[in-house]
Amino acid sequence: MKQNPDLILREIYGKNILMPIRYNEASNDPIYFNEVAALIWKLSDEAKDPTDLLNAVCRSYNLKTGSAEAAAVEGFINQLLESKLILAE
Amino acid sequence: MAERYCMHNQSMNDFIDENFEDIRAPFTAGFELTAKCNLNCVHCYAKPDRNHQDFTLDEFKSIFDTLVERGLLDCYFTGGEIFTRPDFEKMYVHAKKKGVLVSLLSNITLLNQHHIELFKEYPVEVISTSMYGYSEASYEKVTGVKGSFRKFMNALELLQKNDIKYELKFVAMEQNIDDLYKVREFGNKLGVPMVVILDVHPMSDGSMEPVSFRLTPEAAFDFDVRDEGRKQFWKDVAKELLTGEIELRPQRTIQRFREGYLYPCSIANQHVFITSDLKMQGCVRASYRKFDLRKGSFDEGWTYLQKEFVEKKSTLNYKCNSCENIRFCEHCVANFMLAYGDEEQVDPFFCRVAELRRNFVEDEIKRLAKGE
Repeated sequence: MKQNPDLILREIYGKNILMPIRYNEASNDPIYFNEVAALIWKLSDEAKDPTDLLNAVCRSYNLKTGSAEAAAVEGFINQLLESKLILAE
Repeated sequence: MAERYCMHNQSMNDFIDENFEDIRAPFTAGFELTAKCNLNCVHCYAKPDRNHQDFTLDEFKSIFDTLVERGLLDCYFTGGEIFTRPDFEKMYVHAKKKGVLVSLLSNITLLNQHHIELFKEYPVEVISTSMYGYSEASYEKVTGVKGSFRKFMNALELLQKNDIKYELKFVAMEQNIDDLYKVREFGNKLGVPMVVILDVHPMSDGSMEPVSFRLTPEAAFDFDVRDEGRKQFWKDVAKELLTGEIELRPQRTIQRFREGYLYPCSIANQHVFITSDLKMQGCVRASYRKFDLRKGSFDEGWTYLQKEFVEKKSTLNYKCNSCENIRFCEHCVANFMLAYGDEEQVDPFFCRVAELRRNFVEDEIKRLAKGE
């Protein structure tokens, strides 16, 4: 997996903003991420696939696989993939 | 669920206000890429005979990267004319790759297909350009350059055809006032945002020559009540004043004004301006106090500007502090300083416009109260 290279994550005074660089299908406007979203974005570059990414996020937050929280994270990972903010190689 | 993780469509200014209210950092900035210009506009605030050497690409990158480290999110490039710089593209792409929003202020007469391709690949926030007149004669009466109107119109067509975001500005002056409503209608037909500027500023060296082209306060106010959009704005103000307190400026600005700060705006607090000879100012207007970035670091300059602007309080004599029309006023201390060499010497143009607006709003309130 990889981050969409046409966007860059800016971390400013504890806030996370995904800023557009090049024209792209995902977003040409800033997107304001919370801490979890920013972590998913950062980990997505090292993950092999969405399951690997989900496991990495769950490890970071001590979430049990199959918990409601993990399901929410999985849903968000899918949204990031669908919107092409992160890409499955 | 996703709304809990991320948020789209929030304007950058709102984001900065909501999240960084108490943080002093250069979240927004202006960069004067060059003092050179291919036009010779009668009203231009930038002194035309500045013969300094513009900052180099490396100097630009260095200060830009420092600002990015300190929090820069949103900036604009201005001039002179930005497209006279052969390395404009390199500076623009550098800024975009750092994850900063970039707006451009340009007369667009040098804009070409190459720039269009650049903005398609690296989208610009907005290109803000002035239409100085509706006809060749009135446009060139302001710009002083033959053939500039044709180049402007060709560039406008390029922007429109290629769906590049832009806005039209109109600087209303004696020279072109007859064209104001024609340009307004032209902008409406194109479907682009229009910004009408009614107050011409002194030059950055304090010369008052451009101000002589300024409309009278009565003529400026006339636009407020004849233009449908502006008229509605003031009618809405009346309506809201009837139902409760409203403020026309950001809360922090109002608060700082009440606490007696002379510069209640974001100057040198969350904004900075870098001139093309690498001087650091609090904003584009405040050219009378600057820090030379070739002689010291950004942090030294930032501290200097804090003392000179952010912490500066007004005296008891400052007329604006006790003015009942302040809510209707667009006064700027930096303009007072440029014009009179005194930050507290009020420009009567602003006082009169504010007074006329107040009268209009009060009449409107009376009308509404009567149920008319």
